[in-house]
Amino acid sequence: MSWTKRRIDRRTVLRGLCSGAAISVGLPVLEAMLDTNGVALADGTPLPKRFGVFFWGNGVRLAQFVPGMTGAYTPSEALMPLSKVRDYVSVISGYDVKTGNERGHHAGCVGILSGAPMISQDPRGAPYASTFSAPSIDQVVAQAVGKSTRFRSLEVGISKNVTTGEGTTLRYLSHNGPDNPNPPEYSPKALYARVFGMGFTAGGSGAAPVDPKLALRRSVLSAVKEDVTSLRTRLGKNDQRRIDQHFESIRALENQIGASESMPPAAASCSAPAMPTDTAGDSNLAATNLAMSQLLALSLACDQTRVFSVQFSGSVGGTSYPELKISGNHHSLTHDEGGDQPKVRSITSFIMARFATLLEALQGVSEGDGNLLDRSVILASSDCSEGQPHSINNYPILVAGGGGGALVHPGVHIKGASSNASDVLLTLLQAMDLQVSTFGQKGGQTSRTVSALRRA
Amino acid sequence: MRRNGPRSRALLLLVLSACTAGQIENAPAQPWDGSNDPAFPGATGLAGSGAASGPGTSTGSAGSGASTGSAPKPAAATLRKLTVEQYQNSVHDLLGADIKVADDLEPDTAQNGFFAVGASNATISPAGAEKLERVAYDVAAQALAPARRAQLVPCTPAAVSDSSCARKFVQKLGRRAFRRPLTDAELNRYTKLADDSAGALKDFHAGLEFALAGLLQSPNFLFRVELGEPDAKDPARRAYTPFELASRLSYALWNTTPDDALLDAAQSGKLDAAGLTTAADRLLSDARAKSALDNFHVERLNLGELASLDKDSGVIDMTDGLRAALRDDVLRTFALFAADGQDFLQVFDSRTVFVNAELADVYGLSNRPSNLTRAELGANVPRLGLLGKPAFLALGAHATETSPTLRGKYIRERVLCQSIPAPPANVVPVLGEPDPSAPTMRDRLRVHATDASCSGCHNLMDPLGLALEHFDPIGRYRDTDHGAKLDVTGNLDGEDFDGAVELARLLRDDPRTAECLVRQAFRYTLGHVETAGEEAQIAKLIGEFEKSGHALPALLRAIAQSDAFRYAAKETL
Repeated sequence: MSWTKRRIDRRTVLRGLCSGAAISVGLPVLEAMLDTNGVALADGTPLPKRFGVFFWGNGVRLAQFVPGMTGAYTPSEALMPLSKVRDYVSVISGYDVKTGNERGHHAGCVGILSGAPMISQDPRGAPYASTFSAPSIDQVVAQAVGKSTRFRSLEVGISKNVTTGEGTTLRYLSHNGPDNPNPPEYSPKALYARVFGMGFTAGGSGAAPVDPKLALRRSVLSAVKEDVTSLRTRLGKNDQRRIDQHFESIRALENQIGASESMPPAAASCSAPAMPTDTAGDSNLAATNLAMSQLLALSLACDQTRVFSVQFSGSVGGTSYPELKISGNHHSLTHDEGGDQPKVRSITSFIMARFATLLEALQGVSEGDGNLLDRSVILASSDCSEGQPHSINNYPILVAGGGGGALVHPGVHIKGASSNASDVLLTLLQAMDLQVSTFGQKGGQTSRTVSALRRA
Repeated sequence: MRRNGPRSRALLLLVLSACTAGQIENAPAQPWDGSNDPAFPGATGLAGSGAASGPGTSTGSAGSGASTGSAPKPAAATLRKLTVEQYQNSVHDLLGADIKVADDLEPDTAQNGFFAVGASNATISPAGAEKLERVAYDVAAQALAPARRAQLVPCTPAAVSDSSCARKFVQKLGRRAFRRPLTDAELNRYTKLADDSAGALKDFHAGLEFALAGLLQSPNFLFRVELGEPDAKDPARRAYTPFELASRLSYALWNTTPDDALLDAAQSGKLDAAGLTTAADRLLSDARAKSALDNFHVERLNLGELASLDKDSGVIDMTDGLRAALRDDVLRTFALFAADGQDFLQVFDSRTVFVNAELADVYGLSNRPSNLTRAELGANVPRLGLLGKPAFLALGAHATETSPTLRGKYIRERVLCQSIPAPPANVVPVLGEPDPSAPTMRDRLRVHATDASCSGCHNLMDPLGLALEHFDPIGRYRDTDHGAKLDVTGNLDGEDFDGAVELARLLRDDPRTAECLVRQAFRYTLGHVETAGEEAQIAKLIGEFEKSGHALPALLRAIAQSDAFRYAAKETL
């Protein structure tokens, strides 16, 4: 049963009209909404699981990333920043992306995010580009769990220094299919406006707001869908696929408007945050990441979505880290820095600290008898194993969260033996209760899971 | 046309034996399937992958399904999403230049060097649809504000609900929005929206806002629906309809929606071959064509990236003013050579620059005007044309240091239309950072040149970029790098050069440069990389471009008259 379709009663919520100012009022906790154990909704539906992806470019240095022991592990140099949430983080090593290494960074990115090979767009005499051949894992999950929330999924980006000239693969994390990305939001202020601005309802008892314009917006979208359907009959297969996405996007928007018209049950930890100031992206990555992490945590707490992705830095990302007092950009340093690359390692540690910020933000939201992180399944990885050789074997993969009881806790270091990285992806889908027994395509196809990742 | 002397062939063979993956892609001047060219052993019908790239079209670097022998065949028609700039221009032309259109729209994605090509494969994401909805209502409200609604509403409503007046509005706006007359079904659909909304809100013009917002969210507005119809004269292909040709011409030459004159010409059957030429002339002679041409250069030279380029504060402070000046220096210089009768290749050896104070500092000019002003570099200044422009030099550099590889790659890809193969996997090249034993880029990049797994591809790029090492990451001149003198000699496929000026002159005279401009104009205008079946047309266009003395308007006119512009393959994609 959908959580958001429930109606409770009789408390007015102040709302502005479409063209007026956005007003939203957070409502206090209504513990009566939870059952006596606090672990489920009053009607017995369990609190929902959340899925997320955290992604960074240019890989790691495996020697400093992979813990020295398997099973219960002491954080390695790179993983030290995750110490406070160490129990929630499992480390995977010895798993390979097996979808082929056609083009450095492109192949790893597509392989780890979708379990499928990439598509090269490489006509003679023109600059190279590539795209995904299948949906990224966040959208696979969103397809299953995203229909009952206001937003099917939320995509954010932290560093704007992404590679824009080689197609969708390097530029965007989330994909619905080939040439079908979900561009991320880079501005915390814009994300705030999108989620907590006009159209947001914290939920609770009270009548659903009556705004005739909402219904009218939906009839406009209905008319537009008729145009889409009519156009579709004239199109070839490829164009039909594109227009089908347009149709789905309109449906998602209708869903969103519908969510604004109904009054969801109060989410215990939901309260609208204060509007963030804009944190000027790359000039303060830590602040931007913190603001986004907090917004995402609250978006999840308020059940605005159950699926999110964070592109901290892009594949081949040329992000600079002046706050680390090093010159040079990440991608160049992975290729240029000599020895055991102390600058690259400090960047990796910095990125892991940003991932820790996200996890701590989720952990900080109480929910039922635990917290948001207990109920999350989060994949964290990169566009290659090690940036220098563009390798995709022994891939650096972290799995975080309790998965609502589905993921092993405390986290462990699991070492495969040239195993298929898609095994991890399939495991995560099953941890999210998707009824799937295989995942991936071609070399990335698997029906095996990583049992050590699951809670016994 | 093609440089095919023994030296360049030998070089290509050497390079190929060293390249571990892929091949050098040199767009040939005639239909080519690779099988009879000894410089490309093992090539199997690599004849371009054509238009959209969905699954099943181009996997891997060998285009599959390409025809050997490449008989002339038009490319398939496909939907083309409006780019952000086209969306904004179209709304301005639909509703009024005073309308403020937010630029918070889903970004364009470049593919194979062009947003125009990306737009032929793009779709609209959920977040994108959200943004489009927000902007649609915003501009509709602005457009129908009481003070200015008379411009758009062709009648005075008799009541809150006046279906006949609403219908007139929808018909008038709809024809401009969809770039063709609405069908009866569409007319009914949007008029009903207006009627129902007016009734619900008790306000006639509010009702029109909803109808207008709907028109702006329709795929018929957001995508250029140019699909053609079966050609009565040739069943093997489709012909674009007059309205579709109006749209193609307008977006090609003005980067915006067709005006009433063009739509009327389409309506009255005046857009045949001769009519198309007349219309092209009208559009080309208008000032709007000049600013639209800017967009062509922005896309093909990736100038959009200047807006977000990072430079270390120790190199330069990247202010908004500097970013704009960097871009406009290129565009204003280019505009000097963009008229009929002018040789556009002069952009390679021009000494003209356009500078504000910040950019003047980068150039080392003593005159520092506060507004962008034309200046001429002295004859002794060691920079020339596009290769001397800080915009180009900065794009090919990182935050704190130059990148000869990126600068060289840019020249290969965006000046010569050559592709660079993929870097090999699992190779560990260590470049090292500058130190007293290897102070310059040439020293540090030596392993690129000597290691066999690197040199094949890097020898295409690095020697060209190393010619430019006198210019720092923002394009300022420097005598030395880390205290060391610079060796800026090199070789471009058999031709020696010493420094940026000589390289610039070589590029100007290289026939591949003119060819590349033709291909780029083709890709930009038609929204796809030329297919094998279009190579014959490309050859013709190259010939005409040469004959016109490399005049850009002549090239655009020729493309508008070409079969590729007017016809599509029988199958839709």
